[in-house]
Formats: sequence, C-alpha cells, structure tokens
Amino acid sequence: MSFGGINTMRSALQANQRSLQIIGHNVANANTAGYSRQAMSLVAGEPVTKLLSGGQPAQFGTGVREAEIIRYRNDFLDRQFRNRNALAGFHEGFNIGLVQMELIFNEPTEAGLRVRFDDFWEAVQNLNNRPGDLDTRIQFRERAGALVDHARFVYKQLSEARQSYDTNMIDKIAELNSSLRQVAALNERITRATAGGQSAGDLEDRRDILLDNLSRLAGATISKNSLGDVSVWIDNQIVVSNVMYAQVTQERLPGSEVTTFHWDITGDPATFTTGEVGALQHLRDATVPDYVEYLDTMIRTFAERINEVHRDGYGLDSVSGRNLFAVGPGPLNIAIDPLILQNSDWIAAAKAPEPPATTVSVGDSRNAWDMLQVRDEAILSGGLVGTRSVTAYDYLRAMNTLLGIQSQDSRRNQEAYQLQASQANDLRMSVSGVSLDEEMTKMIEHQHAYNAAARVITALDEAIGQVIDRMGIVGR
Amino acid sequence: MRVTTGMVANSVGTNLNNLRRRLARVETEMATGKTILKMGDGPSAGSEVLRLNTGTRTLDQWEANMNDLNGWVASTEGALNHMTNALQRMRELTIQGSTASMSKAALENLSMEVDAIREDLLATSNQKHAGYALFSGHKIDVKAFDFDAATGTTTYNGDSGTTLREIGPGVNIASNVPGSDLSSDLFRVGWEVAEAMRNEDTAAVGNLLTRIDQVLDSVITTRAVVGVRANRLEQAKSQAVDSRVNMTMLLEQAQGVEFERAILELKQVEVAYQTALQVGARIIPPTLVDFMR
Repeated sequence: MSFGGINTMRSALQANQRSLQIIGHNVANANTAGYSRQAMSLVAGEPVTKLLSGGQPAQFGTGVREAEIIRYRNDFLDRQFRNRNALAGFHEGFNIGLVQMELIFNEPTEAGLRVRFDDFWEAVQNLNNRPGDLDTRIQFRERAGALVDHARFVYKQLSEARQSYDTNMIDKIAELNSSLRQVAALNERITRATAGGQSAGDLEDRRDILLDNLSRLAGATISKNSLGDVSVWIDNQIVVSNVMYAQVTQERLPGSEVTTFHWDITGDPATFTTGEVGALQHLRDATVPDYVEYLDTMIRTFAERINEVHRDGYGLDSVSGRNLFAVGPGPLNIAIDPLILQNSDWIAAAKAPEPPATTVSVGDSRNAWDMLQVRDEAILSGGLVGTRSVTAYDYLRAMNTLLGIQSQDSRRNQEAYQLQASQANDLRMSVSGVSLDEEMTKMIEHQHAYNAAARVITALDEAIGQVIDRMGIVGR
Repeated sequence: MRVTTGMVANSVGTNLNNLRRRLARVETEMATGKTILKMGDGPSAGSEVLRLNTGTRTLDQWEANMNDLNGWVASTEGALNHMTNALQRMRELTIQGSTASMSKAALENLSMEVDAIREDLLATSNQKHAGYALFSGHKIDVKAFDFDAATGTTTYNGDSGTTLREIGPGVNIASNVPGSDLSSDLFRVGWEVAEAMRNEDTAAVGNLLTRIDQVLDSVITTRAVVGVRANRLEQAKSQAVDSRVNMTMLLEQAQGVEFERAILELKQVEVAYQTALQVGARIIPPTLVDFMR
C-alpha cells in the first residue's frame, strides 16, 4: 500500500481544476475580438512497471498530466483572411473617395457643370437674338462667369478632398507605426516565453489582432519563424523582423501640397498599393489629380476657343481683339476678363463693320452666332478621350461617366471582397471562436471528473485509514 | 463546420444591415422618382440623362426662337402685304392718270392720293418690331429710309445685315429682311408719278406703269421669300413637338422609377426584413446555460 493512488487522484483534481480555469477564461473572452479559444491538452502520465501479485510485471498508470495549453488557431486561414481583408479595406476606402467625388461633380442633377453649360449657351442664343439689349449682354456675362466660377469651385472642393486624404493618411500611418512597434515588442515577449517552454496564447492573440489591423491598413503579409516571432512585409519591404521594426517618417517638402512618406530604416519612399492607406494614396496621388487635369483641360480648352472667336469680334465701341475669359497658369485659373466685367458693351457680339460704315451696328450679332457654333465643335482630344475629337459636352459626359463607372466598380469590388473576408473570418471563427454551448458541455465533463476524482480520493483515504488506524486492533 | 455563437450573431447582424440598405434604397427611389441620383447608380444611364437634359434645354431654346421668329415673320409679312396693296392702288391711280382726257383738277386730286400712298410706303418701311427697326438690317437703332420730297432722293440708313436664329439641328432661319433688299425705286416711282400728274403729262404717267410693275414684282418676290420662312417654321414646330415627346419618354426610361416594380420590391424587402428580425431574435438568445441546473 502506498500513497501512489492518492497522488494519481491528486493529478486528476489539479488537471480538471486547471481545465475549468481555462474554460472560465474562454467563457470570459467569448466576446473578445480576436480571441482564440484555448484548451488543456491532457495526456496519461508515464506508466511505472510493478509486479503483480500473480507474478507478472505490469505497467500501472500514474494518472493524468497536463501536457500543454492548446491555442486553436489556423495560420492558413489567417493568411486567407488577411489577403481578402487588405482588398476589402482598399476598395472600401476607394469607394468612399469616389462617392465623395461624385457628390462634388454632382451630376446628373441641376446643380452641376452640365446645367451651367446649358445656361451659357442659352445666353449666347439670347445675345445672338437681341445683341442691342443691355440685359442680354449682362446675362451673357453673368452666365459665362457662373460657368467658370463653378468649375473653379469644383476644383477647390477636389483640392480640399485631396488634403483630407493626406490628413487621413497621416492619421492611419500613425496607427500603422504604432502597430509595428507593438508587434515587435510582442515578438520579444513571445519568443522569451516560448524559449522557456511556455505557451503564450493571449500574447499571440494580441499580436494577431495587430496583424489583422495591419493587413486592413496596408496589406501587410507575414511569415512565422521557428522561434515564434513573425516577420512583417509591406509592399515587399520588410518592416518587422524579430525585435527590429521600421517606422514611416513624414515631411512636407517645400512647394508640395501633400506629405511625403519614407521608411526610416532604408530611406526608401513608402508606397502603399493596397489596404486603406493604399486607397488613400491612390486617391490622393492618382485619382484626384487625374480628374483635376480632365476638368482643367475641358474648361481651359473651351475658354481659349471662345476667346479665339471673341477676339475676332467687335464690341459696341468698334474695338476688337478682346478676350472674354482671363486664362491664367495653374489649374482652373480662369475667370471672366476684368475688362468685360467693367463694361458689358465690350462683349464682342458683332463682326467688322461693312464699309462704308466705320462703326459697329448695334444689331450685329454675327460674332455671337460664331460663338454659338463652338457648342458643336470638336475642340477636345487626347487624354481622357484618346485619339477622338469631341465637343465640350461630350467631354463632360465622358468624364462623369468614367467617374460613375469607377464608383460602381469599386462598390461591387468592396461588396465582393468584404463578403469574401467575412467568409474567411467565419472559417477562422469556426476554428478559434468560443462556443458557449461547447464550453458548458466541457465544464460539465470536468466537473463530473473532478467530483469523481474527489470521491475516489475519499475511498482511497478510507482504505488507507483502515490500514493505519484500524489494522492490528483486534476485538476492540 | 463548427459554429460559434459569435458567428451566428455576426451573420444575423450582416443580413439585417443588408436588408436595411435595400429598404433605404427603395425608399429613396420612390421619394425622388428617380433611379439615377448619381453617376455611379448607373453610368451609362447617367450619361443618357446628361445628354437628354441638355437636349431638353436646347429644345426649349429652339421653341423660344421659333416664337420669336413668328413675330418677325408676321411683322415683315404684314408690312410687305401692306406695301403690295398700296402699290396696287398706286397702279390703279396711275392708269387713271394716264388717260389723256383728264382735267387738271382731277389730276391734282390723283397726285395728292399718290403722294399719300408714297408717304404710307415710307412709314411702313420704317416700322419697328419689338423695339428693333424692321428693315434696317443690323442698324436696329436707326430709321431705315429717308426720302427727300424736294429732290426725290431715297436714302437708306441701314445695312445689309441679317440675323440668323437656330430652330433645329443645323436649321437656321434669318429673322429680318434688310432694306437693301427692297427696290430702290420704291418711293421714287410714286414721286415721279405725282410730279407727272401735276404737270398734266399723262404720257409720262403712262410710261411709269412699267416701273410700278417692277417694284410690285420685287415686293411680291420678297414676300414669297418670307413666306418660305413661315413654312419652314411650321415644319420645325411640328418636329419640335415630336422631339419633345421622344425626349421625355427616353428620360423616363433612363432614370424614371417604375412605381409598380418599386412597390413590389418594397413589399418583398419589408417581408424579408421582418422575417430576418424574427428569426434572429429566436436563434441568438438560447444557449445551454439556460437549461443547466
């Protein structure tokens, strides 16, 4: 008789109690984001060889051993999720930006550039019909002004949007930097723990949440190393390696409207092609500048052509060679010429006076008629419309249709990738998520096992007690 | 596949969100009557809407121009008709005055009537339409004709300019007839007839008949030109009516909400939403904990 039996049961009590603890930890974290459920891995203890009373040696079990705490996590599913998460993040950000731009251009409503073009051509017709009237001249000037002013307003809003993307980038990159720092710190703690043989489930969970976030922000990819640390890449740059981490630095170069980003370790420019930051960078550096260029090309070409015709014509003072629009350098730097603002008589509605007359006739609107023809002239080509030559109206339509297509596409992509990301996340949760029913069932199992083990101890205790207290006492 | 409580809750949440989004979309469509509110809602339909909206505005302008032209054509035709009638009366008087047996007093009376007709012709040629001189060409602020009764000289103060107005695609019509298109003899011939009558030169009066006929012909020809404009206006008007019907229909097709379809969709989504709510409420709450002692 030895105390080995009690020892065996003691191991059972401890194992079941610890298992209950872990179950409790799971239940407490049932709603924690990014939590991977844990379970105690129990193995039978090393058997010892004893001699049976029948003469044969046999192996006796020594109870239960707590082998390790398992963390339920699937690296492959993590990788799948993060790939899709990056794309979902990109298209979400991209779509938000494009919808913003749709609202700025505001077509096909009665508040966009289209209606201002319509208004302008109506004013040209009225000027052609009644060139001698002061109100038609003033209407012509006002509507020409309203057209270029609204274009300039659209540009201003696009610039402001661009600045907001820049500011958002700065914010998100601050988040990125912080996450990189924390991943490196966790790397250190995890490698220390696993070197000592510990399992570090909760620390790994924390690191995985950061890695999920990094994938959404910038499409970060990772590789796991044997020591338990992870290396992180962003756009083919290694940014975390064990305890070393890179940070993104920012600066405003003189004369630049936006911030420039660099990786501090290599000094290379930080470019982001996917994730939320990727979307912001694309909007800031490609999409908005493209549309600013389209808008500028359209209004500038239109204004210069009208100016060409206007210079050919004569004002009521019989002077020609004046511009209607003041066209300056820089995007959308176009407004009504200050001379025309001063005096609407100088609007060149007429053509050269026919000899023997030397002064312009009040009712001469032949130059207004020529201006009207510009409406149907194919004055724009290249860039947005490639090798074709199109009218200003066609160009406006093409520009807005392209925006609409891009917006529609990005919305569809966002919905598709978000769905894929959700599905991948469901698969992850299927492996790592806490199911309360499951935990309750396990809890009952361990409870019963604990109670049973306690009972067995009592029985063994009684048996030993019998030997110690009651053996050798006869007839007392 | 292992299903956790979290997965069920997520799924219910996402589905409810999607249904709410569809409800919001249907509501917006029904409230605005439009399916295209921004270009991304349907890029090619949006492009059509842009084109049709501009087309409608252009059509509006053409119709305004047509109404304007109607006024000009009516005034011009009226003036030319009046001149035709006046010249025909002058012709009658000239024939009378060419009779050799006319008395001096009778010829005197005839000459006074001829003078009156000449002055009437002058007044007609100097008419205005909507504040602009009718026959002065581009010089709309200037009296078209002066006639010096002492010397019999006609002075045209206007120019040969015409103003075009657009009434359809590539369809342009001049609004005015410049005075330079009228016969230069318009007033002189009557003056000479009156002079001859006062001189009792009935032979000379008779000879002037040819010139009166020439002036009459030129006025009639000019009236015919204006008549052609009136015809083209008629055609353009009926075409504009067709275009407008067409455009309105195309706009409806591109962006209009079919209310029957929208209401059906609203019903469907409503039912789906309520069902999802009920089902969600039933599957999320219960766990094993509720049943354990």
